[in-house]
Amino acid sequence: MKSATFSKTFYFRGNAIQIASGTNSTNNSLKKIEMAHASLNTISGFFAKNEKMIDPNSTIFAFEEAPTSKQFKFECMGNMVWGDLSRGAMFKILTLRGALIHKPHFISYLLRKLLLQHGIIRIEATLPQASPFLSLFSTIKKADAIQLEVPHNLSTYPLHFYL
Amino acid sequence: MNKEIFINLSKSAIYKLWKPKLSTKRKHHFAYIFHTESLHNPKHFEMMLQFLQDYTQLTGKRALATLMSGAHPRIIAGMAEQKTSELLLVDRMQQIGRFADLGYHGHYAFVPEKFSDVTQQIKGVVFDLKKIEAQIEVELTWFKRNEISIGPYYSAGWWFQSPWLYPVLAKKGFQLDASISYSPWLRQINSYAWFKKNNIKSGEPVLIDGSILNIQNILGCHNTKYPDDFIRNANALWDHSEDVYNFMHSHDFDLHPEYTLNTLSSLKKQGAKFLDVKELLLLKEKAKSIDLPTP
Repeated sequence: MKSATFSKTFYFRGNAIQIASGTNSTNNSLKKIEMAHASLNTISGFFAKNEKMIDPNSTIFAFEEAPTSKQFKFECMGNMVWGDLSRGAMFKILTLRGALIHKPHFISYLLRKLLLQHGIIRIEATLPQASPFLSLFSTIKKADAIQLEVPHNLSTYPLHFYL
Repeated sequence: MNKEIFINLSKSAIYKLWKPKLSTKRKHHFAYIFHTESLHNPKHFEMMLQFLQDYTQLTGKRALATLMSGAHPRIIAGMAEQKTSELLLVDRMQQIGRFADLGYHGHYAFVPEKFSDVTQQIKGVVFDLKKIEAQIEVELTWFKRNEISIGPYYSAGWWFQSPWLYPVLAKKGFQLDASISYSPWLRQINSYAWFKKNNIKSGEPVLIDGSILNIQNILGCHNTKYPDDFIRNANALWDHSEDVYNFMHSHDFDLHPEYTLNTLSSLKKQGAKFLDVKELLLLKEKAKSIDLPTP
């Protein structure tokens, strides 16, 4: 598995540069994200209307896991992502563990900045199939079991998406 | 070459060839709002006080200053850092009140004491109304205790606004809200999507649930020496030809008085009108009315 992903890294880097130059496909994906988040609003409105107490840790609605002090954190334009950074001799790979998204239309800007500023060549995330952020990732690897709900623990959902 | 110098040179060249102007098809109305978060700092206080007088001299109207109370952990931390007493803070707020209308500026966190932790800040689609309500109550009580007369004007901290917050604000007696913006830099997806769904145009006054008037915030007004920047960005947001009513904002700590006054006088020359909050409240009768969304 590792050797297979490593051989593809330069290809992925090419994709990252494509995003930085703002291609049409990125703009379309931004629109999709915004539309998808507009539909998410009613969900949170529903919670508030029914006065259900929301746990502070549940502020992460894209994928949930609270950040620890050892994890790599990156904040930009009101959004924040965190995860584990694995360093190789030539490359860095970020595995996203969670995200706090307040301005979904700027999330691709955040990922782009992350790639350019920190020399990360690939970003991995485990997302549910219904996630609006799928369109941001160029390579999607599906697992046999598909879970449509927002996951509580990333490790239990075997879907992998690579950038 | 320095990036900033390069941008300034290219902007001055472009704006000489092409000057963005306010459209003559619609009338432009502005009001100025301060998100006041740093009165414990004497430099920021003096700058703001001077600016408020200059603003009134230029436009003939009073600006709106929405304040964070001395009961907020962020202000308490700031007061300790600057060695400012509560008495001094109250005195400064009262001095601001001589030149501007006062309102309330709410920053909320799930645990107020952990306001500096990003994961605790209430900015987006997930929030806790009970905690927000409790915090508003604490802060408004502080204002009452210190005899600072806060008007029924509200602006959100971190641009957090939600349809479900309006009944809470109405219960506390607020009548005017300046928390929603169509600008991609400021907008909050929760309220923005709701407004879009109701076909609200950029700059259109809205009466929400029959009680609170919403005037949208257009842009911040402080960080560039070219008034053309402001006009160009604002024109991109007004995509219709009807009259617009907008707030423009700045914080007390990021205010650049010279650039801001420059922009304001440029807008005035192009026929923009400036209003104060009492005039804005008169719009209640003709504003479009919308209800809260059904969950």
